[in-house]
Amino acid sequence: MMSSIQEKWQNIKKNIPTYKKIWLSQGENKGLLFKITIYFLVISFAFVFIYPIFYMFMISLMSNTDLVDSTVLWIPTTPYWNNYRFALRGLGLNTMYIQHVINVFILNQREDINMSIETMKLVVLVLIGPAIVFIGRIYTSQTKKLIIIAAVLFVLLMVFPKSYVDSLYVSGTTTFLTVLSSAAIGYGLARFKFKGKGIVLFLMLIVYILPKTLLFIPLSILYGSLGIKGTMFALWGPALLGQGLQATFFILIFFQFFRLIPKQIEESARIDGANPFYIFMKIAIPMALPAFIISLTYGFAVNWNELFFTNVYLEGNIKTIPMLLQQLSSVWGSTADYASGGNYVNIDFTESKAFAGTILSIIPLVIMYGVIQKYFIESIDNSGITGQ
Amino acid sequence: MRQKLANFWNKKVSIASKDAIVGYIFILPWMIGFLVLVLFPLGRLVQFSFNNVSLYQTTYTFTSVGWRNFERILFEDIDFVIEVQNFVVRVLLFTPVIVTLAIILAILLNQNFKGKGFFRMIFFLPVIILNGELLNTISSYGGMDINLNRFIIDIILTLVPYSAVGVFVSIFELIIEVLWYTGVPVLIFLAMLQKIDKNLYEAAQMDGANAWSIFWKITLPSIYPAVSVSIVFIVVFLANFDGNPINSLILASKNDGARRDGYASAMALIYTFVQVIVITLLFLLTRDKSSRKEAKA
Repeated sequence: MMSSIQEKWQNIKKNIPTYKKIWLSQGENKGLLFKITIYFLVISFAFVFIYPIFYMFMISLMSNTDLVDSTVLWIPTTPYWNNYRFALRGLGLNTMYIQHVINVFILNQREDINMSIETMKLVVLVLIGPAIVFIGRIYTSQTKKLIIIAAVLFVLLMVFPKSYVDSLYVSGTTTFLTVLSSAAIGYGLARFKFKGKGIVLFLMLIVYILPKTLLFIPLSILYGSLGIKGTMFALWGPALLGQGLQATFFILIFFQFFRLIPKQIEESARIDGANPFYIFMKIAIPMALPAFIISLTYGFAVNWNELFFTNVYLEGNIKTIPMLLQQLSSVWGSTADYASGGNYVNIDFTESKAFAGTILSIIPLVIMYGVIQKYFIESIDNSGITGQ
Repeated sequence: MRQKLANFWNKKVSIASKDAIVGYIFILPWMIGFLVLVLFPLGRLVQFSFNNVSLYQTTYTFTSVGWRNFERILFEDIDFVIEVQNFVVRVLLFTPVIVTLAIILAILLNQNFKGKGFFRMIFFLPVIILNGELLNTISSYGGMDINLNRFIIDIILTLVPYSAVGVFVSIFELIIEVLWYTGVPVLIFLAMLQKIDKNLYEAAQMDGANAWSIFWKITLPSIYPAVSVSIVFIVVFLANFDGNPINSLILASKNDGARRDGYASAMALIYTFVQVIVITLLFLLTRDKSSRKEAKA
């Protein structure tokens, strides 16, 4: 009897350090307490991040009767998908782009449509495929693969809902030009020695902290006198000249990046007599892939979400998703007045519809991010961005 | 001709000036952009702000009004002054919270634990989807307040007296809103954290430092240089955000028959002035003095 108690006591004594080991950290091993704290914090922050989206999604599935029902807090009695049907119509997402093209160019349904802009959009969208093949061939010799990618992209663009294609066109092309010019400028600043570099960097920072409302009045007059106001050139011009949205930020990322990577390869190519622009295209750009991924992803998101410049400079000739979202409630009357099963309560514009529209507007970004996030986060790890 | 030029380029131009010329060509787009799209419009803007600008069809007429526009904005009309006050208060209130949260999040994400990738993905999501319209919609329809959520309120009520609940709720709401802006600052801090030499931590542990003093003595000083950078980023972001009422006010003034471009230009100038002052002040206040010495050396 006695011995067994003593044995137990011995056992407990032996085990105390083990418990301690589990709970508190011991050298390399992080303790359980540490893990619990980390998970608790991370999960609560994640909850705060996710909560508004979750809330939005739940409300967007409620019918108007659910909204006023105080017993319904989060989960709708039955998912009411008509909100999405209305929002799709309101945002112009219910027709495919190809259908729109047929309507405009073949069936001549041209009210409210600026033909020159519409034509240019079509031309650019058609040319994206050949451009991918042409540019891609500088970097790889797998022409077949490039052609397949280009073809798939073309088909996707044609069958995507019309407003998504418009938004993609506006933000995609602008981002591409912004990032390309930023890469060149950052490369120039990082790789070559010339006088006045400090001044240029200082001026860039000054330009960066100017609010975007500062110059839109004289700029829109300037664009008006150049005849590019209301066309895509009003966005492409600044993008090419290093004044696009967040361009300074990207220039600094590229500057930092090119400063960090060794330049032996480029120098040996230069000694062999290669043209510096050829070196930039052929050697520097592939090396800066992480910086490209970061700036293309972030730039695309910023341009997609842009509302102020697109409102001022495009004059409604092309309507991006955020612009349509802004006027969703005012165009509601004309969007929703079709048979909704005799249940007229549900036609009124409420937060369900606004949230349905918002969810639809972020879906392309979320999908893009889902596809790209692995590379995006890896690139952040590799690039060491700190825009000092 | 081309041959001559190539000969001249190869033989007569020194390597250093070749370098400089190519460098200038690379940044030429930016210089053109700066002159045409920043400096020239800025001059026009200053000119506008001293004029009453009216647009008839496509011709602009300017009538000089001196400082009248500025007087009207600052001393007669109240909307702009109040919005600017709100903006400054918002910036001063938000920035410390955003920076603190960003540091906490970056340190959390820098730990090794399972599912890190998933949480990183969630924390960077706002960087991608955030826009003014989205945030407006969410906050105007109550996605940002926890008032709706009685369950949480009940829990808080059991812990603190009724009068303190309001404080809790507003702090929580502030954090909810502010968390949406933390994306890029978290990236900046994370990049800084990953640069810290692991040996430093090991050496400190050998010397018997605990986690608390390691945080204050090693981690924080190493990432501190990023604070001023993130502050600049945050203020610029808040200022340019589409949800910022000043931007819509300036746009509305441009189209307002009683105000027009001249008035709006003066408004934009004052706003820029305020913003530059706020950024410079915050930057100088938080600037790391040791890093400046290093940069000089």
